[in-house]
Amino acid sequence: MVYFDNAATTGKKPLGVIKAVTNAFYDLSANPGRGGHRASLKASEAVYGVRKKAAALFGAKGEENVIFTPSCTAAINYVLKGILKPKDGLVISSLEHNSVTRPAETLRKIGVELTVAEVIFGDKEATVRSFERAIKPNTKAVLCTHASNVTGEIMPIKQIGELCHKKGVIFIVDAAQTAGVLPIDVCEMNIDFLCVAPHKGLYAPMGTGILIASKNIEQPLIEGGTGVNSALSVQPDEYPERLESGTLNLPGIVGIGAGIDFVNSKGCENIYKAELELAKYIYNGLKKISGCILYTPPPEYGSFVPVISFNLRGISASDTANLLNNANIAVRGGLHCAPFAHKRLGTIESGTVRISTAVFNTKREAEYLLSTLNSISQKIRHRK
Amino acid sequence: MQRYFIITGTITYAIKCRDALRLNGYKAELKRTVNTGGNVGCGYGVVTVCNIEEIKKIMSEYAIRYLQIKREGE
Repeated sequence: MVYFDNAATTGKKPLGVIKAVTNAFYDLSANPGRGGHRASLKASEAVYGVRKKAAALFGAKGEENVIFTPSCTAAINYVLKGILKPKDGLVISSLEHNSVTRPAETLRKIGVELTVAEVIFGDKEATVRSFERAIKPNTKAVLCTHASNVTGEIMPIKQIGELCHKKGVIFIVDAAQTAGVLPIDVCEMNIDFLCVAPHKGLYAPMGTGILIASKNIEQPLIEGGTGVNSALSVQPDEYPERLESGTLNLPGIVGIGAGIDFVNSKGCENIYKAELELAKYIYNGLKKISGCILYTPPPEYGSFVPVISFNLRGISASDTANLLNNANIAVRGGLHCAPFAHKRLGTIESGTVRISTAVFNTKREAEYLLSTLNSISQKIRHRK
Repeated sequence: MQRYFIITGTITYAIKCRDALRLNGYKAELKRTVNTGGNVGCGYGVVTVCNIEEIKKIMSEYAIRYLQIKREGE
């Protein structure tokens, strides 16, 4: 299958990741941090090794700041529900995914004041001013996506982070679309909590997530066994174990480690350039297809990650995606779990078709995608 | 220099502690703790040969939380 749904999860995983995960079942099949035997210690060492790689990649202060979670969504929930109480204020952007808007809505119902900061398309300074206006005296945290999963638009994270720290507000970033694609340094970018989907830009297995926590989370969302202070009935206060109750996904975690090795070997910048180049090629091809509606300007370096939303006039997004599926091409049609972004695009009723490239995609695949879309478009016109 | 046993609260800090000591040129090994009864720590500590002030300095420099540093055998 020609796979262009990499914003959902990277479809092809590097051989190194597959080997590392497979090897974990042979060599690391013990519960890390849960026993005195050599096998458990070996598993703990493997997990620690991946913490070290992740800490280095994201500029975390220490390995203990790297928390493994079941997903990026889980990481976001851990933070939001762990730090916000009734009467606290939360500011989110107008591009957020349901992974943010749904827990935010739950918090609103218990008395957290929710404010949406409007993202001003193509104007980063105006977007920062929008956040500035949204921050109130009771604002405890600001959460912003690093890049939209619908339009690919990159947010001015560093400037929003500066603003937050100037105002004494906690800054949380959803890096689901950017980790492994754009450079991220939590200290340099003033990020207090970074939520990562390693199965996307880090090419790790699905069912994995990372939270880089530079601050304390008062109330862990999940409590239970950690392999630490077992006789005590309260959750330990040391990180990362405080937030890692339950058995870790060891095969997934070593897969993250191999994924980081893969990204480091290629270089984040090279990956981004290659993916964006192909996205631009597709964008320019889409522009030539009669009846193709594009919702953003061409994906330029530094302004967009390689995600393109479009529609073909006269056919729904889901039907376009189905027809592409019939031609063995995977894309995503619909709302992409991000109704906020679609309201802004004016596509809340129709949704869009989303194409997202990864490092394994080729120009030949892009040509096949474009020629198939061209045929679909022609058939629609003839039908009329 | 004495032989010390550094008891940490978590396996993460135990490994970090060992690596930090090694990076600073000291021999360091993970070792099981005994008779903690599950009340404290993770069941591991680090054995090293170093002086106490130097250990404390390294722990501080690498932001390593520990529960106790004791002479081995104490």
